[in-house]
Amino acid sequence: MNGGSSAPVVPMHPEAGADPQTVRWVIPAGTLPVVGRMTEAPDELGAMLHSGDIASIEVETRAVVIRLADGRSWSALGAQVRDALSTALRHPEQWRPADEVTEDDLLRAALQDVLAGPAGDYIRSHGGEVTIVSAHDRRAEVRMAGTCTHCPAAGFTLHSRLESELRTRFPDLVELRATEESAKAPRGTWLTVRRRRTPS
Amino acid sequence: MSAHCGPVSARAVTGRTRLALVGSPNSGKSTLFNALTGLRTKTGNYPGVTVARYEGVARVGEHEVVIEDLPGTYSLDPISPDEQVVADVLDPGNPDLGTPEAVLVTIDATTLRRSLGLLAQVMQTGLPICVVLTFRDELARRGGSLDVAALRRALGVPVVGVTSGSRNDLAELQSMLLDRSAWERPVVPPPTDPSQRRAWVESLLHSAAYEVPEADRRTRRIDSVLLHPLWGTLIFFATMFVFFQIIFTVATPLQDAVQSVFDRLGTQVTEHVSPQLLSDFLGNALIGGVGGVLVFLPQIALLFLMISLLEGSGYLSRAAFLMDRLMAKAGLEGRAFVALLSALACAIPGIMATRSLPSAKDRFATMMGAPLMTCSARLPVYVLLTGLLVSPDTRVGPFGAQGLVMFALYLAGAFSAMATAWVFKRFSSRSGPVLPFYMEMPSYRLPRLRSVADAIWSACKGFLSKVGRIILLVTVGLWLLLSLPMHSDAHLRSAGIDPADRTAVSAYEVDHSFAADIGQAIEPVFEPLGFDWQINIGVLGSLSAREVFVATLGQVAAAQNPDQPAEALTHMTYTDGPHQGEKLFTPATTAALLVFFLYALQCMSTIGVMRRETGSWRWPAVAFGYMFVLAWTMAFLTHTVVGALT
Repeated sequence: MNGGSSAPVVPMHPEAGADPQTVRWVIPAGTLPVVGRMTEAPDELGAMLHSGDIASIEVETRAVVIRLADGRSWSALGAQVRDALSTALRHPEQWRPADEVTEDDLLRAALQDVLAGPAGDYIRSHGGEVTIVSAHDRRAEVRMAGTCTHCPAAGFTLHSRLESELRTRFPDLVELRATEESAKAPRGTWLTVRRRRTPS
Repeated sequence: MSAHCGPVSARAVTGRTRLALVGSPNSGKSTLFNALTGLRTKTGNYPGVTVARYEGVARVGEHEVVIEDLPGTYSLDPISPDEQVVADVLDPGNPDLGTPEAVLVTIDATTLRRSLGLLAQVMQTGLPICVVLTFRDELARRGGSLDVAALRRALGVPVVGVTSGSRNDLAELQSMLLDRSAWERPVVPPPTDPSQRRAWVESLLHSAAYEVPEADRRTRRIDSVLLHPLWGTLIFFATMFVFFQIIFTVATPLQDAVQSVFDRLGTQVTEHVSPQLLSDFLGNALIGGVGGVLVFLPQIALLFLMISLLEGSGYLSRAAFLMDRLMAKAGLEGRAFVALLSALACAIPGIMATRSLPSAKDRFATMMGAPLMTCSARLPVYVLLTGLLVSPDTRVGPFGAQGLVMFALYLAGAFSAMATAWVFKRFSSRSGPVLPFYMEMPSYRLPRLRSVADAIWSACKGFLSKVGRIILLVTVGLWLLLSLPMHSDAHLRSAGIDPADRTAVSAYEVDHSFAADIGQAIEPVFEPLGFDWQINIGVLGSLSAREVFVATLGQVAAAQNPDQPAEALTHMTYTDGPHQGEKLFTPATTAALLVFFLYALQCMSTIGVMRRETGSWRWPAVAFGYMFVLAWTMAFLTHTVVGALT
């Protein structure tokens, strides 16, 4: 069960997915260096993917979404998948995505995760709209539209909510800023939050 | 804590929907149980073990749901018999106990991490589960936070927050109880492997954005004094001291009031009831004997009022913690102290509380010591004898001397109990592994009026039913022994007694009764302690229950001077032998009697429970034997020492 590794067990728990075949296994951000659909996973998990028990494995910033093949059920295979996943998470380097994953992809996925989470909910709750413009070279850019456009607190939200949450998911972040057109207001300049990357 | 009442056997209610209530101690489980079921509860026992079984019926609209309140437990790994019961009930493969259809698990929001460990184990049983989240108000007050919706999503089972006293919350839970088909089931049960389970809990806490509450500031500050090795211990003893002062000073007027009622009744009976025999029976056996015991009801009520106040406020756990150090000296752990503390109410709950001790050796050692703790049955005897020994006006500084003597008796009982446990632990074979002592320090809370009232009521009810059954029976038996044989007028006249002088006649009858014969027959045993046949009969009767002693003396005194039995008791004299005519209750004899009652195992119920808990007659026999020898020896020493001093 421990997969011969002495690494600590990665915290995780299952949550019901969109359909009965799918379970979202919630994991800490940054556990895996990959995102997207996997073609290869370590040990038992990989074996289950190849044997056809598992239809697909999709990695998100804070979750591994596993879909069982039709005809298989979580009540029968749940414990087996859980143990296999627990072991596989200790070998992040052995996960292989379908498409090559760059650092930009990881940053984009992390930002998507932030916007889908409570920070995004907060912005949407009062009519704000945030969309991703670009994620490149450890810098990300979003467009803040809707009620954000002329909101004096937009810069604060960007910095205190979005950026800090993004940083927990993507620690190497250099800066997160809002595009110029989202800041038609004259005060636009202070919407930009710059942070020098400190060598660590 | 329940007093005087051994567990009653009861079968599980069948035929209706059955739910089980599972949770850690102090997780608000019993409060929830009471809130859901009201007073429609019954107590029973699980087959084979003396773990109390509580069941109640919750009425939701037209429907009735049977709820079983399982013993509080921190995990389903069965270490102690309590935990074994919870594990057995939840195990569908166990044929002896009906498995509930669904489980309510109470989770204390302030100790979420630990509570989730238990929840994980309950979820592994595969039974439908609804989580009841308690103490959310306290979590918020102490600066913690929790996203309940996220917790619900992460657990995959329904989570209902319940604030004590909130009817809305309760209504939500009640509607959940009816519609169990809507309960979500977790997609995959939590892992069984301990390290994977820890990781699961960790992940849940993170997802639910759980912020650990700070230790309650008020609690922390109070604890820094109350748990201090020096101040804490001093305060503990001071609290106990005040405790016994209160039992005396507050109870006395109440007790006098009850006494005066019985005195008036007694006078009425002697004046108006005929024939003579019936009047004797009513006046001596019922009013003098049973009434004499009933007088102590105020004290019993007060004792339990204060114990439940200490328990409800959270101080009792602190006392156990402080005493853990002391218990370690006796080779025992804090859990044993909790058992000994329960024995202050009655040895039976004390002995039953030893079930929480995982080590069999510790269990037996604690069980041998528990009956020495001053139980509430000793209280009437102590009060009576202390009254004879020290006048209520005697004061030592600002304190009543009676309260001081009482405090000393309680201390001596506690000390002897621990010494005994130490001896038994020391001389029993092989040592087991040392298991960690785990006890929760709940935040200081205002005691709930309802629980305090419940504790007092059940203690008084237990006392009254004991008086109504065992004590009444033994008293009537003793009355027969004291009144028979009947003497004819001719016989009385030939003995120089005027048959018209009722007092003289009843005194003569008592002195020449069967009881006197029996008392005199065993006189050689107790003679060195200064006991005469009257005390001997009392001691003999008290082997069934300690309070009978008070009833017996009451009867003897009432027979000798029906108008003022209390007066008669003080001036009671030796009726025969070398000391004839001398005052019976000298300080030496009274002190010896007190000490005898301190050590002797005079309680059939205790012996019965000990037999059931240990599974053989061996341990009760050992306990009875050693305690009798100890009682006799200590009483003899006391008699000699006090006799020499006075």
